[in-house]
Amino acid sequence: MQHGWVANNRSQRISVWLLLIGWLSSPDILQAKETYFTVSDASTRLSDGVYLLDASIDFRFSDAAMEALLNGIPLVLEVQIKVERSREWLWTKTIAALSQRYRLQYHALSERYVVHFLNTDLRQSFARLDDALLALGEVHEFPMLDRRLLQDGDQYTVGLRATLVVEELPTPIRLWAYAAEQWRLDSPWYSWQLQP
Amino acid sequence: MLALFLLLLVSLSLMSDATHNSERFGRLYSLLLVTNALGLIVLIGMIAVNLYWLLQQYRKRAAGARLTSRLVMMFVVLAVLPVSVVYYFSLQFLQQGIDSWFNVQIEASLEDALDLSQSAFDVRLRDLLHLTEDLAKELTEVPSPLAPLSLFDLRVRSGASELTLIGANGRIIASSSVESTKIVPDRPSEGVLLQSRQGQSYVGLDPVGDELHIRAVVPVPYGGPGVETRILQALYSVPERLNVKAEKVQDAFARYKELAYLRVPLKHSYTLTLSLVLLLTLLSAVWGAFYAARRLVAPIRDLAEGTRAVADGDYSHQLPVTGHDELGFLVQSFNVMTRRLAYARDEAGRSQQQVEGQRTYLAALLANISSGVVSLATDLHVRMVNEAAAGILGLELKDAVEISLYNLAEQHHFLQPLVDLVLEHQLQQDLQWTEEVTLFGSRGRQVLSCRATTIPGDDVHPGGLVLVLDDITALIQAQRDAAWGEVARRLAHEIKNPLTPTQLSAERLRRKFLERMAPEDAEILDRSTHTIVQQVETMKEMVNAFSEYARAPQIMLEVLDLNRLVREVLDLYRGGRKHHVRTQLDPSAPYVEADAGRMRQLLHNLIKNALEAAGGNETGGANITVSTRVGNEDGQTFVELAVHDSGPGFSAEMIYKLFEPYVTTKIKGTGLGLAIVKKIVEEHGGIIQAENAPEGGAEVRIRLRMVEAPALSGPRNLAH
Repeated sequence: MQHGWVANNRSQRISVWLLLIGWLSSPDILQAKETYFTVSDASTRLSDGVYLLDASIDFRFSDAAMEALLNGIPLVLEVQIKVERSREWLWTKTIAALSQRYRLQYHALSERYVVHFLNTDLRQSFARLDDALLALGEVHEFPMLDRRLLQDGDQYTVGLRATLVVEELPTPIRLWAYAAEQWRLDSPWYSWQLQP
Repeated sequence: MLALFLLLLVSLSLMSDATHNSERFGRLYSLLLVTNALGLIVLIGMIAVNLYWLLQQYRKRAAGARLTSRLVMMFVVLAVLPVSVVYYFSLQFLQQGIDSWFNVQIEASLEDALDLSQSAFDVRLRDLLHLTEDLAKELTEVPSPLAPLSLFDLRVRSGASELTLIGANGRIIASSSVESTKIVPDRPSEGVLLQSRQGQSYVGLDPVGDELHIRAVVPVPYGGPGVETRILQALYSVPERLNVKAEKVQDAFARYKELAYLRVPLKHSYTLTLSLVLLLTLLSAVWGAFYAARRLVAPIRDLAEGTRAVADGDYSHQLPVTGHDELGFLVQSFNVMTRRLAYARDEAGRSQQQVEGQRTYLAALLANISSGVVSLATDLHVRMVNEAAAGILGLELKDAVEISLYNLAEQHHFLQPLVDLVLEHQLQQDLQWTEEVTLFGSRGRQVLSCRATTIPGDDVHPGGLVLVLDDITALIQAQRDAAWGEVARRLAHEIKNPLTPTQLSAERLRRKFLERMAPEDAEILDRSTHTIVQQVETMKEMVNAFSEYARAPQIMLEVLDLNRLVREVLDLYRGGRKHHVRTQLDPSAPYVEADAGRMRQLLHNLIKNALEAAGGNETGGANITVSTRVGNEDGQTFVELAVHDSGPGFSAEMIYKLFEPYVTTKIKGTGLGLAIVKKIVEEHGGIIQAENAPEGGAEVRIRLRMVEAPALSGPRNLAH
C-alpha cells in the first residue's frame, strides 16, 4: 500500500532537471569580467608547406594569482590553438587543435622563477617574473599546421587563446578558482581568417 | 535508492581524499564535486516529493497520515540533532586543527633553514665567481674563433659543467659542455645579459633541469679594439650531497609555504566536504525517515482502514500480514477478529432467521387458532392480542395492544368483569387459574372461559400473564339446554305418569260414591277429592310449566318495536284494574331483534312479579313502572327495559338466588318465573339485572342489543 511512490517518479525527475537547469543558467557562470591574459597579436605564414605561427601573448596575472605563485603554488598555463573550417549550414568543423602547456613556479632557494615547458620537458629559470612571462608570451615560428590538411577554396579560421589550467591547481583552491573572478585569467579567443 | 547512497558515499570519500591534495584523486575533484552536488539535488528533489505527498495525505486525512508525520518529524529531529552537534564540533576541531599546523615558529624555522641553505652556498658562490672571473680574464686574449678549444681547456681545468661564450648581440660564440649530447647551451636571461654588458658579474643558483647549478655570468675584460664585448657564462654543478640536502630544504620550505598559503582555502575545502557529508547524511536520514515511517505505519494504516471498514459493517476485509513483530501480530489478530465477527454475524443472522421463522410460525399459529390469546406484562400491560381474542372480545386488534388493561377497561366498560377477575387472582397471587366470566358486549352476552398462566420472567424476557379466552356462551347455552331439556323431559314424563291415574281415581271416587253417601261424609269426600283433583292439576300445570321451560320451541327472531310490544302487553293489564302502571318509553323507538312470543312471556312474567310484589293482585293497588331506554356504552347502543315496582324490594339473601329455578317468595309461585325470564333474556343475548331501586321497591333491568329500524328482513332462526 505505498501510494504515491511509483507514481511520483516522473515528477521527481522533472523537478531534478528543473533544479539543474536553474543552477546552471545562473548568470555568474556564463559571464566573463576583467581580462587578464590577452593575445595582443597573432598571425600565420606559410613556409615550406607548413604554416608557422607567430604570436605575442600578454600574461598579466591577477593579485590572487600572483600571491599564489609567490607562495610556491605552481601555475600551469596553456596556449590553445585551433583551426576551423567554417561551413554555412552547420557549425564549424575543427581541422586541428593544439595546446602548449607551461608550468610556472617560484623556486625559493635560488629565488628564481622556473618555467617548465611541459610539451618538450625543457626547463628554464628566470631571475625576474617579467622575464619568464616574456619568454612565455613570445611565440616565434611555431609550426602549426601542415598545408596539405587544408582544402583550397575553403574558408578557415584560426583561433588562439591563453588559459590558466584550473584543474592543475591544488584542490583546495580549485573550487574558488572556478568561482572567483580573480582566477578567471583566460583570454578570449583571438581569431583570424586563413585562406589557403 | 541504495545505489544512489553508495555512489554518493564513494564520491564523497574520494572528494575528501582529494581535498587532502593527494595526487590520486586530485584530477577528479571537480567531477566529484559536481557529482555530489547533483546527487544532493536529486536527494532534495526526492525529499520534496515525499514531503508533498505526505502533506497531501495529511490534508486528505488519509489513515496513518498523522502518525507518519509525527514519526517523520521524530526521526528527522533524532537524526538532525546529533549530526548537527557532531558537525559543529568536527568543524571546530577541523579549523583549530588546521590552524595548529601553521605555527609561526615553524614558519620562522623553515625560513631560517632556507636562509641557512642559501648561506651554505654563499661561500661557494663567491669562490666560483672569482674562478669564473679568472677564467674570463684568460679568455681576454683568445680570439673568438679559437674560443671552443680554450673553452674546452678551461672547462676541464675549472671543473665546470658548461662554459659558454656569448657575443655582444647575445649570440653564442662558443660553448663547451660536459654533456656531449647537449646541442643548445643554456642561455642566461636577458636581464642578466644586460647586467653583464654593463660590466656587472652575476652569480647565482640555478635550478636547471632537476639539479641545482651555479651560474656565473661575467663579462670578459676588454680585449682591445676590434674585439667585441664578450660574456662568459659558467655552469657549475653542485655536489650531490649538498644538492640533495638543499633540495630537501627547498622542498620543505616550498611545501610549507604552499600549505600556509592554502590554509584558508584548505579550511574552506574541508568545511565544504564536511558540509556535503553532513547534507548527505541529513538528507538520507530524512529520506530514510520518510521511508521507515511509511513502512512502519503501513500496517497501522491498514489497520485503521480495516477498523473503519469493520465499523461500517464490512467484515470481509483481510489485511496482508507483513513482518513478525508486534504489528504483524496485531494485524493477524485483527484478521482473526474480523473473521470471527463475520462468522458471528452470520450465525446471528441465521439464528435471527430461525427466530423470525419461529415467530412467524407462532404468529400464524396464534392468528389461526380459535382460542383468544392475550399476553399481559406483569403490570397488566397488554403486550399481544391475537385475532381470535380480538374477535371474541369484539375489539379492533390495533385498539387492544400496547395498552394497560385498566385503560382498556376504561375504554370498553364491558370488559370490566374480566379485568376484575384478573386483578382478583393477581392479588391472590394465583399462578394458574381457570374461571368463567360473563361479559355483555357489542354482541350481547358472552360467557368466556378464561385460563390464565403466569410466565416467570428471566434476564432476557420479562414475565407476564397469558390469558386464553374461549367463547363458551353458545356451548354453555347448548349444554344447559341439553341438560335441562333432558331432565325436564324425563321428569315431566315420569311425573305425569302417576298424575293421570291419580286424577282419574279421584274422579271415579267422586262419581261413584258422592251421591250415595251421607251428606256429612259426602262433603268430606267432595272436598277431599276436589283437593286431590286440584292439586293434581296444579302438579300437571307445574310439570307443564317446567317442560315448557326446558323445551323451548324454535326461537323466531324478528325486528320488533319494543315500545309497541310493551304497550300491547300492558294493555292487557289496564283494562278495569286499579293498578298504576306507568310507562316511560324512550321515544327514539328502540328496535330489538327478538322472538315476539317469548318477549311477551317475559314481559308477562315480569309484570306479574311486579304486581305481586307491589302488594296487589290482578285487582289493583300497585305502582309499576315499565320503561325503555336507549343507552350507549362503549360505542354500542343497547336497549334497556326496566320494570320497577313499589313493593318492598328484594331481600338480601334472595337477591343472589333470584334467577335460580324454584326460588320464590310467593306462596303459590312456581319459582320459575324469573328463571324463565332469565332464560329468554339469555336466548336473546341480553343480560338481566335485578336490584333494589334507590327510591324503594325492586327493579329488574334487561339489556338487549339494539338494531336498526326494520328493513325488509323477516324473522330468522337463531339456532342452527
